[in-house]
Amino acid sequence: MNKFKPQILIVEDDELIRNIFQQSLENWGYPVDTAENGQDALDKIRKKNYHIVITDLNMPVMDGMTLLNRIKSDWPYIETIVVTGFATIESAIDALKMGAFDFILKPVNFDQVKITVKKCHHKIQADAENTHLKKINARLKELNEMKDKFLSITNHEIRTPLTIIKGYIEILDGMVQSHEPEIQEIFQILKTTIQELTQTIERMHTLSRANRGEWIAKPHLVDVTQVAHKVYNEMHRLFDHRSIQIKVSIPDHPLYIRGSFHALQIILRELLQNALKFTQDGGKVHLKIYETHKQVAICVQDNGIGIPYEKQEAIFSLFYEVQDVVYHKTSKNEFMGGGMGIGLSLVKEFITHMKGKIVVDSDPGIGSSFVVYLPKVRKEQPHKEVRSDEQSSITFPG
Amino acid sequence: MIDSALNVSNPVSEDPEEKIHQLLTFLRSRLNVISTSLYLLETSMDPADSAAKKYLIKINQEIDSIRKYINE
Repeated sequence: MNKFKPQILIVEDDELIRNIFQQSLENWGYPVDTAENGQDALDKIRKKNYHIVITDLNMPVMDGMTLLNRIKSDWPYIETIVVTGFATIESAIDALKMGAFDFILKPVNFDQVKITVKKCHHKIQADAENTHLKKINARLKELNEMKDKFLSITNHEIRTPLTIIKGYIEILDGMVQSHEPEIQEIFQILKTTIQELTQTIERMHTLSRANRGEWIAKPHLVDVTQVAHKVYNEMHRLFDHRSIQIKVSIPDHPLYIRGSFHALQIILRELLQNALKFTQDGGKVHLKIYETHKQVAICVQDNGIGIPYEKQEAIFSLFYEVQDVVYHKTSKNEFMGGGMGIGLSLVKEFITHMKGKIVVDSDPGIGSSFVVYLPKVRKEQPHKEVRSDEQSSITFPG
Repeated sequence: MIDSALNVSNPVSEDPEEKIHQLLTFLRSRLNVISTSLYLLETSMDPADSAAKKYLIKINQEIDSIRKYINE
């Protein structure tokens, strides 16, 4: 508990009892003021911020019930504890109904006072923390909505001009037709940079949709082996190009999960792309699909550079790249090539929506393995299966 | 290896404001690369090539529209 101590006001017409209350509470570390009756208490509450009011019920000028009524009407956040004799316990119950925190019976047992005040102190603290958390949650919600709106508008406002720029640059390239290496290099930089911008905007849009669960909203029965074959056929040339030996172990029978063909394609592509990026030329990558009792596992293992231990927790965080993301300019398919740190965020998002999990095992200098576990589904369970000709298309960056 | 395995099935907390800032930084840096490349291209081209110049102006206009959007 932190050092917050609630400010307490004792309202009691009997001076002796008032002084005993004050001394006891001050001994327990609480800051205390006193008032002789309800009216005196109201005057003090108007001038100072109190957290707890401990009030007698029977007092001259203004009684405790009237005081409680005024407090709950004008300062509802102030907690009130009433002190009453056994003969007026019904009044104490009425006080509870009006919003008093608790009551203390006369003759006063100060052990009970200590416990009651402590309970009230905890409640005030819990309420304050709750209010603080609510404010943080509201702010986070607002920021997330702002992010989604920003991404949606960005996709719309930037993609079109980029497409136009790309077109003009192609026309210019055709018009200039220079063989000077310097001009050729400038055109190459322009094309690569525009491609990178376009891909980033598209992937951010995909991630935004994934965050909202759009891809997985209507899950289908998907054969993981079919997706693995498709992605391998698309990508193996990228590995061949860099003399990376890619081995595939895919069962010859279907393994079904419930999810999205498209999302699963992205998961596999991103994991293979990641292996490609962090494996030196001439290295080895193994794509393995297998089943456990209840799950289908997709394992991508490489003997690349691995991930530093201190960075392993952050790799699924949006825009997190192990190397610098802003100043690189190499292709994503090259060793330690560029990227914006979106791919693994997408992977994590899709897996979460498909009720799966991903386990990363990486040793710097030895290699990494990413294993995705997705709940296995038996084919007999009625569900629509997505055929490859129904797949939505997506351009794989590279 | 198994002992050091990292289970990341739980979402990683992220600050949306910071993420937007990172994306904007990335976009600005890439737009600067494009602008610099266009400038170099313009200085390397034949100054009398009016058709090529026309396209360079159009490209710069589109870049300005993106930059304006980002800066807003």
